[in-house]
Parts: sequence; C-alpha cells; structure tokens
Amino acid sequence: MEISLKQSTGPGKKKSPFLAEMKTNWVLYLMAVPGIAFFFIFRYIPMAGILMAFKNFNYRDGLWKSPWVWFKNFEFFFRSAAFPSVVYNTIILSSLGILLGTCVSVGLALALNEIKHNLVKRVSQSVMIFPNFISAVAVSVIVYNIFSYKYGIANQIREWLGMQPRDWYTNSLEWVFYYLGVGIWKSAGYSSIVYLAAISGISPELYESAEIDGAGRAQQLWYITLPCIKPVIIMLFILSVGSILTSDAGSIWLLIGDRANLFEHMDTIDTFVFRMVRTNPNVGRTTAVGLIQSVCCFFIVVGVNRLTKKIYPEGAIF
Amino acid sequence: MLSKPNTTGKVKAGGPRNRIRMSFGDRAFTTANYNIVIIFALLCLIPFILVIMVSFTDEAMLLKNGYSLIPEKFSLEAYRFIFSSGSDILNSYKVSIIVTAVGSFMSLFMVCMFAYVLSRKSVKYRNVIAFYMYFTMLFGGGLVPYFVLVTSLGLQNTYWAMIILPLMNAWNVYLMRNFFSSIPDSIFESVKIDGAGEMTIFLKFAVPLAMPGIATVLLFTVVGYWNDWFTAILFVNKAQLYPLQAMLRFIMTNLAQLSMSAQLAATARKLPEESVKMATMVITIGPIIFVYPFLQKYFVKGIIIGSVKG
Repeated sequence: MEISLKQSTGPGKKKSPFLAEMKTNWVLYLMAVPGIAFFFIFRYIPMAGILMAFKNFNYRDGLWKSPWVWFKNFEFFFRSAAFPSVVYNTIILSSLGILLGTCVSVGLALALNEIKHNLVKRVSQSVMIFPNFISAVAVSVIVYNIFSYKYGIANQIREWLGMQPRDWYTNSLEWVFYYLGVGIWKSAGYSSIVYLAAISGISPELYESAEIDGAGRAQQLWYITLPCIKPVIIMLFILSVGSILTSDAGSIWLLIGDRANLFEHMDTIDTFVFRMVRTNPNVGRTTAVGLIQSVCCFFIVVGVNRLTKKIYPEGAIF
Repeated sequence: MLSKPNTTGKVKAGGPRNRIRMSFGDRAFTTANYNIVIIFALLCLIPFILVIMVSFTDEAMLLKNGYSLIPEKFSLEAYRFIFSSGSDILNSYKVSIIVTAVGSFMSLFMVCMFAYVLSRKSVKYRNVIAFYMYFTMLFGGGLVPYFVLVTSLGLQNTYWAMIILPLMNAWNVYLMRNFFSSIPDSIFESVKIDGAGEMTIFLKFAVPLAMPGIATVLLFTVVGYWNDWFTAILFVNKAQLYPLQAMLRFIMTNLAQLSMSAQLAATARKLPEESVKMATMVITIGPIIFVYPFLQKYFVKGIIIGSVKG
C-alpha cells in the first residue's frame, strides 16, 4: 500500500519543484501577471510580426495567410539607393553624438565641481538639467525660434551684423551639427549628474595631500579627478556604444521634418522606417528594414557587454 | 610641522581665506570654470525666456521686428485666444491631463507590483521573469509589427492607446526594483510569520518603506506621459483626441488650418499666429516648470541610482 502510494506520487514529484513554488508563492506570481502580460502583448507579439518581413503582407489575409516571399523584402532594402547612406548616417550621427556628448558632460561635471559658491552651483545645475525634461516637440519649437527665416534669432543676428538673412534649411551637413548641438543642449546637463556623483565619491584626502605637495587646482583636476572617474566614463561610454545603430527618429523628424533636401546627411535607418510607416507603407519591406536593424543591435549590445565584462566587470549589464 | 594643521584648517574653512592664498594659475582656472558653467547655464535658460517673452509680445510688433528678448509692446492676446472657451488647445490640455493622471496611476501600480515581485528573494523564478523583461530591451520586432498590432487591437484614436502603450518600461521597473531590494528581506519574513498575506505585506510594508523610490519613479512616469507625443502622432489622428504635445506639433506645422475654425470666425479677429505658437509651448512646459523646483532632487537621485545598476 505504502509502496504503491509512493510510486503514484513519483512522476508527480518530478514536476513538483515548479508546482510547489507556485503553491507557496502564488500571490506573488499573480502580482507579476499584469506585467508579464504587458510585455507579452506589446513586446513579444510584435516579435512574431517579424514573419511579415518574409511575406508579402496584406491586411486581408493577415499574418499567417499572406504569401511568402522569403528574402525579396531584404533584397529591396540592400539594393535601394538609400541603404548605404542611411546606415552610414546612423553610425556617424550616433558616434559623433556619443563622443561629443560624453566630452561635454564630463567637462561640465568637472567645471561644476570646481565651483565652490553654493548658490551659483545649485542654480546653474538646476537650469542645465531642465531641458532634459521638456518634450522633443518643445525642443523643436526652440529650434524654430532660432532658425525661422522671417522671425528667427539667427537671421536677426545676421541682420545686426549687416548681412543678408538666409534660409537655414538648405545645407544638410550643417544640420548634422545643429542636431548634435540640440542633443547636447538637451541632455549634457542631465548626464553630468552621474559624473558629478562619481567625483563626489573621491576621497578628500587625495586632494589634501596633493595640496600639501603644492599642486594647483588644474593639476588636481588632471592628476586626481580625471583618473578617479575614468572607470565611470569608460563604462558609460561603452554602454552607449550599444546604441550606435539606432537614432531617435522622432527628434530628427521634428527638427527637419520631411524636407528631402536635408536627407543627404540626416536620413537614418530609423527616420527611413518612420517615413515608410507614415506614407503608405509596404509592411513587409519596412518590417525587413526594422528586423535588420534589430538583429544588428542585438549583436552589438551583446558584444559590447562582453567587452565591458573584460574591461570593467562591474559595468556589465548581464 | 606648522604647515600641516594650517592646510587642513584652510580646506575646512574654505571661502575667503582660500581665495586670498590662491595662486594666479588657480584664480585663472577657477574663473574659467565659472565662465563655462555660467555660459552653459545661460544657453539653457535664454531660449525659454525668449519663448515666454515672445508669447507675451504684440503680434504686430513680432511681424515687424521678429523675436526679441524684451517685448516692445506687451499683449495677452495669445493667451486670451488659447483660454477662450471651446478652444482646441484647451481641449488638448484636458486630454493631456486625463492621460497623464490615469496613465501615471496605472503605470505606477503595475510597475511597483512587478518590481516588487522581482525584488523578493523568496520568489524562485524572479531571475527568469527579469530576463523575460530584459530581453525586450535587447531585441524587438520593430516599429511596423508594433504598429500593426496596435491597430488590429483597435486602439487607434482612443484614450487607451495613449494610456496603455507607455504603461511599463523596463528601465522604470529596474529602478523600482533597486528601491525594493534595499528593504531588508527579514522584515518581510517576520511579518509573514505573523500571518500577513502577501498583498498586505506589499501594500502596508513594502510600499511605505519604498516611498522615496516611488516618488522618483512617479516623477519619471508623470513627465514621460506628459511629454509623450510619439504615441499620439502614430495612433491618433483626430484633433479632439490630440494631447498637448501633438497639438503643439500640429500648430507649429499648420496653424492656419486652426484659424479657419468657427471659434475665430466668430470673433472676426486676426489670429496672432506667432505668439499663439509660443504661448502654446509655454503652457506645454508650464506644469513642468512649476513642479520642477520641488522635484529636482528626486530626478537627481533617480539617475544616480539608475546608472549604478541599470
């Protein structure tokens, strides 16, 4: 009797770690259900939509019944004239953004750290962080304020200097720098907080002994502060490299709109996809472009993380 | 021997004594730093002052002189237009407030619950669930499948699109989990022995103890909802459902269309276009300007904790 009972629970017991866990913590798992459901519906189901990249999708047949075309959609992108330039632009824009952004944020943090006047420090820091909290649309209004032909500040300055007003929306290369400038304006103050926090963690004894040795402020910055925050700089730099193949389609679009004459240096993979989505998309082709980008991004992030683990283990994300 | 106490005393006292003893190089260096900081701060500030000033400038002056920091002639015409009854912009304000209030509340609740589960060490599969979420940060289906999904769910042109779609993001969950993780597990265990249910533990113990963290995440959530324009641009094309950000975008591109509305025809006045654009921008960032001074320290705390372990 006893033996048979044991045998009957035997196969059940193999599953039981899972079931037992569910039984003891079922309330906690239930609490996670809304979150799990959200990520399933809005993040994982679209992953199944990747199939559309291999199909000639139409809404009537739906995802499953649309005819397969396999790699035709990818061919379209690789053969299109836009392909090399949008990939190139994306990489250039984001790497310049990462590089300049890091330099300016670190520079600001170092400068802020030297300011001993408390009120000046607090007020200026508050002001610098603020642009980070306004929307990209509001930022685009400010850009309009500067570059608007009729009323903009830029043309007013030209006039004041005795020059003719000019149309600012003509040179694509120029806009690369305006875009980078706007990005730095928006986020440098905010990013500098992290570096500032790292600086505040440096032991004051280092500075005291440097002072006894007769090091000036600038030397202290160069020989103490910078080397001490170097790991943080490297870590954040590497982390941001993971996003080198992505760009913020929204911000770019809000700056230059659909002005085709500015696309030469400003059209990125994301703006390309975003434009295709808005203007009567060929669903399959657009999905294919997005898929190429997603896959590349995935490998870049994973690779970068491996590198981080080697250089700076604490900075690795997984 | 004498110099040692002298130097430490100097560092502690800071201020004036320090300044007197500064060498020329140090003084130049400090001045340069002050200049860098103040110039950058001014660059951040001036555009906002400009926008605010333009919004108060008389339209005729604007057309004549362009934008200027000091308005030659003051006017409240733009705000009168915005706040007149039945105004589309006022309606957008309403939409934004509803979406932000309902969305932030729901989002905060879901993020807290999810993060709490991920933080409890007694949950055996918490790392599996964490990876399930983390994977969505690494890989995604892209914009188009997302777009097709949302449209086929029938969320287009509804409040729900703007409320549901930004509900959870992995970053907020991580941030919140870090806050919950800082609560010692022994508290939960001892309360559990006393016979409290998991939901009670969460609401009565975990949430109050993580309050500073919740405040931080709430702020990010509220600002996120308030500033979200992308969802509206993608999924809303009815003017009555435009949140403020989408309305601002709409106004910047085609204000003329708005001026054809009945509202203006009734008053038979010319629309103060430029100042209305700027006034809309002012009321868009207005709420953030108001809460900003109180909330700044939470933002700062948030980014520091978030960056330590994203």
